[in-house]
Amino acid sequence: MKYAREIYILNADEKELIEISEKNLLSLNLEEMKKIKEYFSFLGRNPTDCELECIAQTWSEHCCHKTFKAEIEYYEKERNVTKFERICLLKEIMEVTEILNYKWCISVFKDNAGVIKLNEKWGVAFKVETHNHPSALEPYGGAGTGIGGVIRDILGVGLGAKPILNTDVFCFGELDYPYKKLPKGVLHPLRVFRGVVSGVRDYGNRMGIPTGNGAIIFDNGYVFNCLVYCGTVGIIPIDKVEKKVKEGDFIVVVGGKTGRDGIHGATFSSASLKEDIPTSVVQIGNPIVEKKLQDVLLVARDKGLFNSITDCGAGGFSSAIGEMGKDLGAVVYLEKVPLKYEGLAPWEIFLSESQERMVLSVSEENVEKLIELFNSEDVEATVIGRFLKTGKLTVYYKDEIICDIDMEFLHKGVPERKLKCFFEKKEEEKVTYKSGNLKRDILKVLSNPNIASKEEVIHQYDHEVGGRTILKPLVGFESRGVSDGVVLKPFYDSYEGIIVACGINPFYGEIDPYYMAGNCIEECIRNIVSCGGDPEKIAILDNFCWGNILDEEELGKLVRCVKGCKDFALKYKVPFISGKDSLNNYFKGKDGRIVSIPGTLLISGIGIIEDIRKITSTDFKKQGNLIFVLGKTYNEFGGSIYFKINKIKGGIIPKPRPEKTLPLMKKIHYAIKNGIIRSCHDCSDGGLITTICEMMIGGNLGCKVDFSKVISEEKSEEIILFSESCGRFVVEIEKTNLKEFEKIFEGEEISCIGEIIEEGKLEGFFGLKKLFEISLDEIYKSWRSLKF
Amino acid sequence: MKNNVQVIMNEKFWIVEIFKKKEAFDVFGKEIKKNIKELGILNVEKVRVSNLYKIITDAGKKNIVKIARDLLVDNISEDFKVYRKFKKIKNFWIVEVFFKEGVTDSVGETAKKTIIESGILKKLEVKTGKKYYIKGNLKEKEVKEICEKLLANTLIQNYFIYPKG
Repeated sequence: MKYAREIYILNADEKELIEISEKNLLSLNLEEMKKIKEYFSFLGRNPTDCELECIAQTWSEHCCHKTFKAEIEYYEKERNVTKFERICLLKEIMEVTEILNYKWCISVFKDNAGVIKLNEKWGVAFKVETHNHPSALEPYGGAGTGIGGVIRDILGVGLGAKPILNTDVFCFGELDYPYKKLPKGVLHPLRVFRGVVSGVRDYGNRMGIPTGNGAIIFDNGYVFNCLVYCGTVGIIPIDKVEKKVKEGDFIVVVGGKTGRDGIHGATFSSASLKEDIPTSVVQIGNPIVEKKLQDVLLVARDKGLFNSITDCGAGGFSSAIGEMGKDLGAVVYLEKVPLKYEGLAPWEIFLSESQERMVLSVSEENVEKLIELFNSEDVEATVIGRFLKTGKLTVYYKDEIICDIDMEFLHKGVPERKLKCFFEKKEEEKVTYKSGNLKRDILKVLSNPNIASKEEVIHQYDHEVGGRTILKPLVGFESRGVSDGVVLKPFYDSYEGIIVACGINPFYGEIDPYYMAGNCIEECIRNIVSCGGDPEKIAILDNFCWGNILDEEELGKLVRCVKGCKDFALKYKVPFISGKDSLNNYFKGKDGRIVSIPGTLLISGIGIIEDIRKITSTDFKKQGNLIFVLGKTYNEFGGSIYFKINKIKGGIIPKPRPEKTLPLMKKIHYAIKNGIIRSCHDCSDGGLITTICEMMIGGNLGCKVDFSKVISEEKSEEIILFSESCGRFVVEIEKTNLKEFEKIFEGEEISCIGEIIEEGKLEGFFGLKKLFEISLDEIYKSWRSLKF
Repeated sequence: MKNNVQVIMNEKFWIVEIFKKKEAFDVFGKEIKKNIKELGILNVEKVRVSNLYKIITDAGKKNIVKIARDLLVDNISEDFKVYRKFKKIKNFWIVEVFFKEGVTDSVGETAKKTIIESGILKKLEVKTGKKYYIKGNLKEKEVKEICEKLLANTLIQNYFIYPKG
């Protein structure tokens, strides 16, 4: 063989098989290596390097989600009773959508992104990806290509959707983490933070796509492995949602050239981070190439020049072509691939994860027209092979076959994983804590990095480009206030709109991942509803980032979290339309020490509204208006910011109460739609007081509040101010609308707690007792204390 | 992993250095200075940042100057120098950061394409980098720390330190 290397596995014993896997960075375990050996024994030959790499990529956790498809034996222990269950995580999630069976969910769990119906002609696609490992190594490039990748996911959904919004959620270590404690090769959280933010900024802004929604979490669990979630929303004509590769179609690669960047991304991201890493796993983005690609692609779509499309993400051509030709077969001629420079081994060309490339399936009669169109826009398009009904993935380099494997084996051959795990439910106990100084504690909560204003980051992103952003991430006076979500108006000739928001809180997961899932789902829906969204028209996406899942305890937490997702999504009647998991986010030091991240679930939601003129924002609007709290407060401090700043452990985790909250949210939607509610903000991290302060900052107005009026389980100042109970909103109404407001919310747990005043101060009472008086300046200063 | 990228060695090249005019605000320099102080290295007085284009070609200086002036520089706020070998500067540590071989250099690729399209040169390679001038009473160890923690990601970039002249 001239161009490929034979890998001798036929005579290898178990130890040698593992060695081969490790030496070539394949991340395959013994069972999988044995299965490969068995297959090639049957063929009577050794595999080539290309074949082995191709199988490793296709079977990687990143591409085929072995853990989520595995059958897991799950033991759950609560108060000495152990329950046993066999569970498949992916089925659990998908079952929600099947049971709810909404007609407006057009394409779920099968394409690059989920698609829901916007109106009779258009659908909305939404996808959120993670790019954790690359961002930990090269924050700027990693985060940039993360955004680039998810944009291509949207371009590759159906026959191509037009991206109109990016979202980003990050988790970092605390910014003042001591340099001395960092192992060699680990970048400081501050550096990761700056790099990631500028990466997302540069790629998103240069693509001309607004970045409109996100969150940033700081916790020292993320020092070794930061989390970078990037999402993109796109719009697509409904008749372009279906795609199918036809026999005889040409394989055309469009966009960027292929180089040695990002080789082994898929297998690498399925492994842990170690202290020594090869250069080639790093990916570098080029947004200008992608922007040109995007524009010409949508023209080609409307002309009907191609039959199917997918993006080149993890695994490069091997995954993209392998996936598209799954039901037919494909023949590829690698020497035709345009290269950045000479000297790449054929397997490297096939596996490279160079950015900005997409693969199209084009009928013979359209090939010339398509290439001409792409070239006219200065975008490369090259025929590199054909989809033929061979049932095989055959790859040539010049006259030599370097890869020839059955599609059946490639896609279905992976041995099913059997996993075992357990979860032990900790007893939750009520903890009460008396604050010595309420005013000091309020300012401390506001200046906590997880609560404080992220204005400096948000301002770096362009959130207006395209002119579709109606409700922006920053609202109110001098754009100081923070918005719950972003509202887009996708069409110039209609008032229909899209609302996007998210929910994330890893701190609850330390106590019980089941309720963390419930809280994230509810927070996401709450955010959409407080912008004016309809709780019956929301779809959500799940993104799990977990630690070492080979550890039975960590996997147990993941299973528990997925169970929470299913139960609460069903109770809130929201379907999952897409999702992604990134497992093995742990760091292995030279001494063998393993540090897992806190299990983190991000729920991103997308809602459809009929009229963008009937929404509201979080900032207080006018003095003299009344402030209402909707929903009841409980003694629920588990995982709260208040306990975090006072270094108290334990407490009860907030419990979602869908039976109460869902009807309440429907009424809020009705009231906002009819203009009764002037401003609305949900209560989440930091409790009621944070919500009120944020509304004051946005409105540049003060308020007078009697906290004893808040409906609460216990009449304690701390609980009312800082508890993070779910299902609560703060709303502002005009006095003249009081009667109508009370009529709408009849029978709900609501109470009027005070009034907006012009003077910039927060006066807090408890009955007749005055608790504190804080000036708006002090509040704003504490809230803006986070400096990067 | 074996790195069999063709390394262009001993070839003729020119460096185009682009820097902010004196009267323009060097925002990157100010930012880097702030970041160095955050590392706990307080002896830094001034930092200036330039962009470097290493143009590998046989062409003469006249053509390179034309490329720099017409294509690479923002003539309002920036100025440039073209040289093969730079002189050390009194009181300043100089740090150069370039991508390692084989790492995609998107800006370099775009510059190359633009130069070819402009018709000034037909065959060339462009590599981009950054140059930092750091003034202050610093030890070499401290400069190295600044490089590793701030200026270069050694996974994909090489850095070179030139001591004070």
